[in-house]
Amino acid sequence: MIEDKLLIWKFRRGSSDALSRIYEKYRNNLLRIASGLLNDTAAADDVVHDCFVSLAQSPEKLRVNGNLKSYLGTCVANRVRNANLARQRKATSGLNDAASAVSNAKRPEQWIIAGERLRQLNDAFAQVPYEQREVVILHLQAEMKFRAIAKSQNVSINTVQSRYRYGLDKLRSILDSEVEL
Amino acid sequence: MRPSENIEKLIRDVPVDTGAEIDKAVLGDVLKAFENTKETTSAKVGPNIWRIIMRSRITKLATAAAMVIVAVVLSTTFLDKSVTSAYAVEQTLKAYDDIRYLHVYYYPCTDDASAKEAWIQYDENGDVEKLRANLYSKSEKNKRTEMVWSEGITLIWRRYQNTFEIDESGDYTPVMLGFAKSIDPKQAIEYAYKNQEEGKCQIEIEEGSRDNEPIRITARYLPGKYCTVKSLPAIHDVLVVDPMTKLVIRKEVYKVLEDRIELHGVYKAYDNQSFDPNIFDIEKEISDDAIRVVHYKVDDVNEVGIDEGSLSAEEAGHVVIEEFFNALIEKDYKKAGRLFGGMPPEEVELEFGRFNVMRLVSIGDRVKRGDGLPSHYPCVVEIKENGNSSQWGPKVCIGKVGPLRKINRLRIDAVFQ
Repeated sequence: MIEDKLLIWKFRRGSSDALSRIYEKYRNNLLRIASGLLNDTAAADDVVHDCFVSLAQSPEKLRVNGNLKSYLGTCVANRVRNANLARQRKATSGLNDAASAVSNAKRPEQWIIAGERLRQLNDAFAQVPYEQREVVILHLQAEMKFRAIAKSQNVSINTVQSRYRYGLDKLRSILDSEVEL
Repeated sequence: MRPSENIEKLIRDVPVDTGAEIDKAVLGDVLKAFENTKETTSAKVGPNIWRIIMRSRITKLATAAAMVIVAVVLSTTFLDKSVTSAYAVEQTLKAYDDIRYLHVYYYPCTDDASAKEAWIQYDENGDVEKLRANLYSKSEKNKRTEMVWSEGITLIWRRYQNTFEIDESGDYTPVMLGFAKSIDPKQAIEYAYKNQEEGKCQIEIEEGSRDNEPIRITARYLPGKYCTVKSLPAIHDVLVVDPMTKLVIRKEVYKVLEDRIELHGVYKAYDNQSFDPNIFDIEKEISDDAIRVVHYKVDDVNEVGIDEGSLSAEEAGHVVIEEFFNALIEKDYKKAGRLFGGMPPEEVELEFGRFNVMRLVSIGDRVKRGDGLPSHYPCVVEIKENGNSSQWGPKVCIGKVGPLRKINRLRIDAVFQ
């Protein structure tokens, strides 16, 4: 990804154009990841917004040789975990129950305009245990290697691979029982 | 029902749309946060891009100039590869038939190159209809030249000089169309194949192992054969093709040096995305007080301005100013127009006739204004209005004839207050 290396390089040197391009390039992917993890478009909006603002505030954290997509995906996943913890503290309901409760709520201004396919997929994700859901999303949507996911979740690579397999099986059975996406 | 093995693809490719207003608002927040950060921290200096490139997969594969020889030796293999490839380059050429808009950004990667950005609108025959090129200075962030070409007329806006040039002569047209050609991905492919036929380059097509992995067309030019520039070393043009649309999404230009391969620059193409309709309307961006210079279409440039001859630039400047004001005094608007770059007589009369110039009182020394601003001569002229004489102090800019400024004749570029 030479373009990403150049973008990081320029961004670290103060280029707003490079930051705009990173935003434009990865915004949708991060929203997809956040909404999949949270199944709450409002919360997903906030997480991705905060993630980009945080990136803008600390360009030095980006390594030119790193994988930008994975880096941003990890940022989102970490913020989602924090958001979930905060929600659990306030909680009136559990994580998975809370998920779909607000997924279809309309707000006056929405960043994510959830289409039918995204909504169906997120609803299916909401029925998958969080650890499995995170592995599936980080591997497929953030293109993170199992090794990197294992490191971020602080578990063994075998555990991550098992979570991926179980998560995918569960999703498959949910989606196969529904109308085609 | 979907095949179950497609679940991974389905998760990867699920579409997500966003609200344009919020997009803009969030980006605004992000850029504001970035600006605040820049103000409070000194610029961070990252690692040298060349070190990164040297560690990259491409560089490891290719070592030094030996690559060129290897490329020649292995040419048969490369040719076989391109022949047996499932992807055919004709697919890309055909894909460009429907392309009407092209937006290209050139990211320079060496100190001797500068960034460029271009927007091209093609007509139904695939010819350039409108072109805008922004040429960014490698040294100064805000120093850039913006040019728009359409119907044979080129508009050149140098914001840092506050000058706006209008080339009606057509001299800039080949320059602009040549530029369009150099960044057009379709033309880059045709150029590579033409050169391969002539034995000047070898083409390799590499398809990705996964469905959505880009196709890479590598054209390895022998030293001195790239764009016929003899001083250039071996150049590798890598065209990265989207496997779905078959359009070129990026062109990477590498220089093969003795000890390394150096990424010279990257052209990123955004095809067929409609532009901001104002992108070609550059006149809206010109400041009201900009100095406007028109290069008129004339039958014979040797009739425009005066021959510098053996005069110094300053002496010739004085002569052309003197002749111009004398022509206005004599109401010889044809001659005044010739001295004004070929301005039609009726325009001269409209522009300067109202001043009723009586006498050229003085021409001051040339004033160099620095910061790239064009120099001028302060003049004092006696004018007559409603029977009363008064003095007018115009500033007169002098320049070489023609938009390319290569003709050894001097003309009046502009007269301003």
